[in-house]
Amino acid sequence: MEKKQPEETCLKTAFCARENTIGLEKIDRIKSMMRKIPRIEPPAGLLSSVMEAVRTRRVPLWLRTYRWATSLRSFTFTPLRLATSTAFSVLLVFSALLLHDGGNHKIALDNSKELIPVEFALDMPDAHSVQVVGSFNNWVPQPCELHQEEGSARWMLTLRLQPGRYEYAFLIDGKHVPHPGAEFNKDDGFGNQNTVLALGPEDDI
Amino acid sequence: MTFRKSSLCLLALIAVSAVPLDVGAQNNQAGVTHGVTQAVQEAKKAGVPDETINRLLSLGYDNGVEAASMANLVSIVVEVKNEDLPQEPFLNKIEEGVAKHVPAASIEQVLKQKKQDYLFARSLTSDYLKKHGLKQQVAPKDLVGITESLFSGLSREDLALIMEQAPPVSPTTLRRAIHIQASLKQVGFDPKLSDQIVSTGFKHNFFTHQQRGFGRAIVAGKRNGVSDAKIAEAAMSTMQSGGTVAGFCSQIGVSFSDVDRPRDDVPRPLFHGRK
Repeated sequence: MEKKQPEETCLKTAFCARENTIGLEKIDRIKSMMRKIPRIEPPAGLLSSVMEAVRTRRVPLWLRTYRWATSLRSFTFTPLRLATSTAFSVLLVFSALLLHDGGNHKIALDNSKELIPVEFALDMPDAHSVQVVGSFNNWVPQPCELHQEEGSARWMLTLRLQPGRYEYAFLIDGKHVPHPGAEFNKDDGFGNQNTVLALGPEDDI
Repeated sequence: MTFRKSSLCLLALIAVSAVPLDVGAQNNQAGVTHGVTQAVQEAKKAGVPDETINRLLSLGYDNGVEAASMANLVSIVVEVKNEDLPQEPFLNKIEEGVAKHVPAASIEQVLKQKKQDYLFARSLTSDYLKKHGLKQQVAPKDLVGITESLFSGLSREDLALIMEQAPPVSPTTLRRAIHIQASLKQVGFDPKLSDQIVSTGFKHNFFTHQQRGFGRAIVAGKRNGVSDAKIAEAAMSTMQSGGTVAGFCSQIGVSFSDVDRPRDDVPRPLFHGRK
């Protein structure tokens, strides 16, 4: 540690004392000037008008969004973070593909382990769209569209269902039709027929 | 200035006339909402599970069912619960009707008819059990199977006749026999021969879980062009000799694999569409 010279220390102390004296003199001068200012009451509404003038106005959400979207931004990333996010994206896409396998058209309607694959097949060359609705999909056709094999009149769909008893019908170009050639149909009470499908050890049709 | 005055007058007039209309609409809406609330409260009081109530309400909300109709549907479910009938067939029917865009009034009508059918079938089965001194309870699955046969081609008279002629058997056996009878009726099988097959099956205790697929085998034989007489003869000889469905299939020239159901450990596709 370098030891400071006594002469240098002395000079610094003298300089600081002078600076302090100048500062105090300035403050005293300001004080005396303020005392000389005549006492005037502020006009009514000054405070509110000043506050109104300085108040920050809230920008609408759409404008903030627009500004955010149109302003330039820079992204920083590390190779590790990039790899993680890429892996996550790939996993998401893979999961989506698994759920809707374009090749086999298999749809899992239940996550249970005891699922039985059921193949719905229909020879309907003139149809434009074929869907299956039933108690297994709450009669909603969206996830259960049959797909036509290339160069074939056959429409196919494989579903994995839990053991149980189901009723279903095909929606051929929007028209309810029971499974042609099925062993057992039921009147749905609304003027159509449903086909009965029993799966599992207890079925007895 | 004149224009402004007349515009203001017109606006004032619209506002004055709109207020009572709006109040009326609000009152009406409040009444309807009150109807749903009351129906839901009654359902809870009757012991309808919260899950069931939520399932119904969300179905109605998702499909835009009017509140008044929703209240009526919930009330029918309450009636079903109070009668101690299985609720699932009714809930399924509501879901089916709503999804098929059937008017709510028609759904209500179908449900009311269904309730009557269930009460009829339960009373009939109860009388049958009493008549034969059987102290068994009718399981919900059996009651559902027996009643739903009324939507599969059998009439109330058919059902009553089967029960009248049936020997003392369990409700499950009764349900299986009724299914066979309904299957035979659906394919237009000779009614006399159908009765003979069913009564022989009862006699030889053939309608067991082991003989599943028997009904489908008969239907397959009929579709393959085998005569009713030949099918009936083969069926009855199988029953009398304690044979199996596989043996019966070979007698009428039907592939057993076509009618056999997969075992739990060997799942495989079941249905192949035929046109």
